[in-house]
Amino acid sequence: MIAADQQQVCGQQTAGTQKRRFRISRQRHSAVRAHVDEFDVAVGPDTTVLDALREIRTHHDGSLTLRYSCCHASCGTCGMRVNGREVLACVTKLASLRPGPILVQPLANARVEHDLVVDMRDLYDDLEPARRPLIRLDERLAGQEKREPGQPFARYEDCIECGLCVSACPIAGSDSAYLGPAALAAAWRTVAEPRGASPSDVLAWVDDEQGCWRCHASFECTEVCPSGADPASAAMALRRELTKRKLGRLARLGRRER
Amino acid sequence: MSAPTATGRPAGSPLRGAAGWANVKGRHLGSVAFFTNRVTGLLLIAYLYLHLGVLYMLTEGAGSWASVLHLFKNHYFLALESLLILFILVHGLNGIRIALVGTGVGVRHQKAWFTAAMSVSAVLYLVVVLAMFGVI
Repeated sequence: MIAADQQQVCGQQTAGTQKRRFRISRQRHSAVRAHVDEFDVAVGPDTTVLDALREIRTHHDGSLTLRYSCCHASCGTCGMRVNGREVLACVTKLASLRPGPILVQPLANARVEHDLVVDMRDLYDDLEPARRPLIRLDERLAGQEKREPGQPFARYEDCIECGLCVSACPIAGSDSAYLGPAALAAAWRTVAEPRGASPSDVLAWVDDEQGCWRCHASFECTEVCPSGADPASAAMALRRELTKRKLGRLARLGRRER
Repeated sequence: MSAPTATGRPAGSPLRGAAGWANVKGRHLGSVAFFTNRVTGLLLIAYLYLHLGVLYMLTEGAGSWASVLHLFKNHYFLALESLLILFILVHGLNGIRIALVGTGVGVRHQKAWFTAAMSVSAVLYLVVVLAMFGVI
């Protein structure tokens, strides 16, 4: 169900007397150097970043390219950096930002397609070997035994594939070969609840110098995740599981030697 | 040719690496901890080479070594040396935090671990500085 205030957000709330200056990164594609265009937009108390961007596109510059869909933090398509922080533009109210000009940039650590739109293919490709455990539990478990009601568990089904975690991750920023927090969170979901998949295959996949061991525990992914999926804890859980299995294998080997 | 990675994408350049982690503006405590650990680690590596350079003075005879020892007793030098202790404390205690969190121990308390590590570092550093300058 969409809350009343979220329905209002979808209605493009920009009518207001206060003006805010937007500094927007413009770039035709990754090969071209980005530049910043400035726009002054009349805003109201409930105006979101997405409202303002749509206002700019409608009344100031029709060539501004952005991506959005649901307007209530479910689809994850409007991820971008606002004043240097990864957010979903649809639920980020301007009133929550510091006074002064607002810098809007595309997500980092992904190729820019145009202005605020980035290429998400690497993220989606990385989710595939994790068996994409992002399908809702009731869809996947139709006709199978379900969990007891009220039993607590973390659900990475809540991941909306927005890519904010990858943008915020300093290691993804350091090395494009790194699997990244979203894929690791999905991998841990499969290990924790295999649903017919092989946890060993997934663990072998992340047991790589560019897999869970590459994470340097900055926890930035968890900080910016808009759906509470906690990818950093998932990466640590994968390491714990791998360490446990490796030590177990070592102990068995030791016993056999004796 | 480099070995295939989990993603199949080639590893990035070292230059891109530094640009990816060195900017902590607008980031959270975990990133500050990560940045601090990297910088102190790099400084400790730099010190190691400096230390080897100083030890080389031993091969130059007693006179050369005596002049180095005289420099070591200078207050400005002592102040710099106290920073070495600070880097060791910060890097070492934060390293223990990373080792624990990195194997799944106390993950949800990582911020508290960092605050505790930095607090202990500050207290120990103060004690060391007071001892170095003969106050205690």
